[in-house]
Amino acid sequence: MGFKKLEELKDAVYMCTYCGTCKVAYTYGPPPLFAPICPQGERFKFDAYLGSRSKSAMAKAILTGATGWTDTLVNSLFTCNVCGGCEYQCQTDFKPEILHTIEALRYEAVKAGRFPKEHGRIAENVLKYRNPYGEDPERKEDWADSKYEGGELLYFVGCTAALRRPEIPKAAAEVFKALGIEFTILGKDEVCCGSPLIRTGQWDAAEQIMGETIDRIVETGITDVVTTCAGCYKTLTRDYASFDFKGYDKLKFQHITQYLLDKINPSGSLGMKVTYHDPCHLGRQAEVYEEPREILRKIGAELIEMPRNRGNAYCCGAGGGVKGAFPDLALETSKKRVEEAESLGIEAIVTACPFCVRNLQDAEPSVPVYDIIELVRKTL
Amino acid sequence: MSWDKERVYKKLVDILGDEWVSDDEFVRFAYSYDLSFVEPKMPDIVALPETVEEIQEILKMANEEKVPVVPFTAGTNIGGLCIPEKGGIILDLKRMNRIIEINEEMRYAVIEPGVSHAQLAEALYRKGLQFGWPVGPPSASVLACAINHGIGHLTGRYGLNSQMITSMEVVLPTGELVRLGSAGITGSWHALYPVPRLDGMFIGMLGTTGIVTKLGINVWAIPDYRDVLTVSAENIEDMTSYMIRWGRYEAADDLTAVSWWLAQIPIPYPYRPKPDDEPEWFSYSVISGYTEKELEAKREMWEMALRKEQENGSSVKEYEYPEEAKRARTQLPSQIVGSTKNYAKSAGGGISWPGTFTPAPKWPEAFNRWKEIYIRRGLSPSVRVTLYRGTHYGMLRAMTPFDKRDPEKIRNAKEAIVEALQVALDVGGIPYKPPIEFLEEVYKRADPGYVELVKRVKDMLDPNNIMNPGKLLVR
Repeated sequence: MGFKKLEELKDAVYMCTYCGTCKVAYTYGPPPLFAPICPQGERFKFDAYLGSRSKSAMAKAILTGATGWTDTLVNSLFTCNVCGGCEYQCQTDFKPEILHTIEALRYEAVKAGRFPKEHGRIAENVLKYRNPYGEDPERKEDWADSKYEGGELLYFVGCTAALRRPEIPKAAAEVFKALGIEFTILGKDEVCCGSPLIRTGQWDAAEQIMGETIDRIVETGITDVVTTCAGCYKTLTRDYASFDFKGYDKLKFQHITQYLLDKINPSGSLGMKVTYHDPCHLGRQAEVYEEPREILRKIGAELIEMPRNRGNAYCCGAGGGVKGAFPDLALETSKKRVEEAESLGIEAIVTACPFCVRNLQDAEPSVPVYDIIELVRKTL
Repeated sequence: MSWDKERVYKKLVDILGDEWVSDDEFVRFAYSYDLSFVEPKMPDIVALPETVEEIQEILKMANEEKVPVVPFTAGTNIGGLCIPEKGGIILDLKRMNRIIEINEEMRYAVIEPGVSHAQLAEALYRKGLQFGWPVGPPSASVLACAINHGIGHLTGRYGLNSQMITSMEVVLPTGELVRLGSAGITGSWHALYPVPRLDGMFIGMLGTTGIVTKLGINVWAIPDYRDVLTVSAENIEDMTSYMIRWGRYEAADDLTAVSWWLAQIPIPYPYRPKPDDEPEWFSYSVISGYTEKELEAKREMWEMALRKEQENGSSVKEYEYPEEAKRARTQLPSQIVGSTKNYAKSAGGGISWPGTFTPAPKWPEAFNRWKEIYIRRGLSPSVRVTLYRGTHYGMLRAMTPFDKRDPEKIRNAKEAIVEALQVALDVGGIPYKPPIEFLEEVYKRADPGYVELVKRVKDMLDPNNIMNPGKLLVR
């Protein structure tokens, strides 16, 4: 139970054949899709950065002592978005453990003191304030116009939405109200899910708060939990499942797109031409691809797909701690994704993750970027 | 090391900028090994040029400094061809990834070294065209595969990928730029004929005589109709006889057979016996046409060949492949067929082969001896045979997975492969994309005049032996 350490992943690492299928997105089609898939590989080009092949090399280098924590190894390790684009391409038995290996390498790097100082600050903030932004926990309720308690649904808002993208929880609350759904929030008592710590290898810090995160949820007595955050959803459904937190097995987590799918009538008339950006944590890493698309159809959006969609979606550039430690790289990547979207002649970019919203907006697109819940609200 | 690394590094930075040059230990490690059994060796520096002019400058500098240079595209070959025997500079050419021209009327394309099969497939499809896609990773380099006598599918009637080359541009080891074929005379990239075949000095030479910076290649129309014809046989003798009879019509775009062990996903590792009630060989033929009638005529020819074999007492018979397996024969490039999913899944990361062109009539003798060698060593005789250009080229190889965590298992696989190569050489076969271990065997048997000429060509083009030194073995 718990996070898999690098040594435990050795067998999986040696299943990587170094074939390089992970380097680019490709599907036969027809028509065929060919496109870059690895944001850091696109930027740095060296094979030491590109795809999961570079990460198996890293693991082998560290496990065998072939190299130490060289500057490039550390830079390659932490400029990775842990987006899983390479994992989606991989066909070997390394595939199921690629992301675990990256995070396990980061854990080892953290132990060796070779990690970005910005990540260290995130851990300090989470441990002190229970959110990665170092905000007073009281501020987690700033967006809420009332107390929101007593409902049989728990809305786990997440730190980024509550503290940096309040329009998202506001929209969610209005949608719940419009649909007559009573819900509860934890407010200032909501503890970070730990995603930023887990992704950046700061597992010791993560393990200090994960139990508390679940305790706060369990204490409400509510078992149905919904979130608007792709990162929270992935973390709560995937990472926590490898632990044994009391009461966790009784909880049912849903992303809001899953929760709302059968509650929205197909009568929307949004009339807007949009494209949908699959958040890595929701799409590739939690396999929630169709629910957001179905909701967009139901609310009357005209959905135009980007060439890279679903499993082949290009990361927005924010994930894996890159936004925090390498903001220029994160922006460079989001600009590429925005260009891909803008080329479709759409009126808006829609996604389902506050972190993606933020990073795509930072690229200053010519069209607005919405979280999907904001568009749902427009139609109710 | 007889060269001044610090000075060379600085000169590379002067040419490329510091962003594209690295001597970081991990970077060098990442370029030190590949899928194969070939022993890892570190380059001293890795550099990523983007232009032909930069490559010219680098090779001129490397000649002055007498530093080894190894061209690298995707690092996906399974012969250790880019593992630097003598250290030096690895020139990773992935930034040179332009498709310069697709000529729909003349059906050729001009590409740079970093163009992958996936990239070319997407671009060609938009124009209704295809290439001879190998079953390699879609990220592999089209140019590198072609100049190293790689093989393709769906265009087997026309030959190997190297037989599809129409022109080329090469930076010589001394830095001069040359164009060969029609491109060298008129600027049109359509043909290697009827001019002196100087391109041969750069094909199959494993990057030891220059860096090919542009390549013209034939491309073909995607046919409107296709079918996949599948048979089984109880033994290699019957399968070979069937393939030679059917192959002489030159009607199949791809005529391949695989042993039971190669048909398994993944290849059994270690070896396990074939169940007695299953055939030992399976074959697929891809046929195509521009009308139903054309396709039907080819089916008739195939049925005639099959019938004649059966009349002679052959065990060959129609055998229905699963739909997914049939699709995989035509849906190329493919991550699944083209990756190492089948070849090395669960085996521990290693994959090598005795890859040879062996005359088809000699396949039975070679396979039966390979089978003995492989089973004795606990490895599956996962063998494939393919005919190219009718019956002119017989490809024979055994995909050999092994566990890279165990030096003993690496050694075992390597010895099995070299032993198998010796058998292939015994019956007239020759290896392609050969690692040094293969060339050692080749030169033991080769005509001395041939070896001497290879040396002369190498010395003439590369007087300081800077290009991928050691890989051709003669220098």
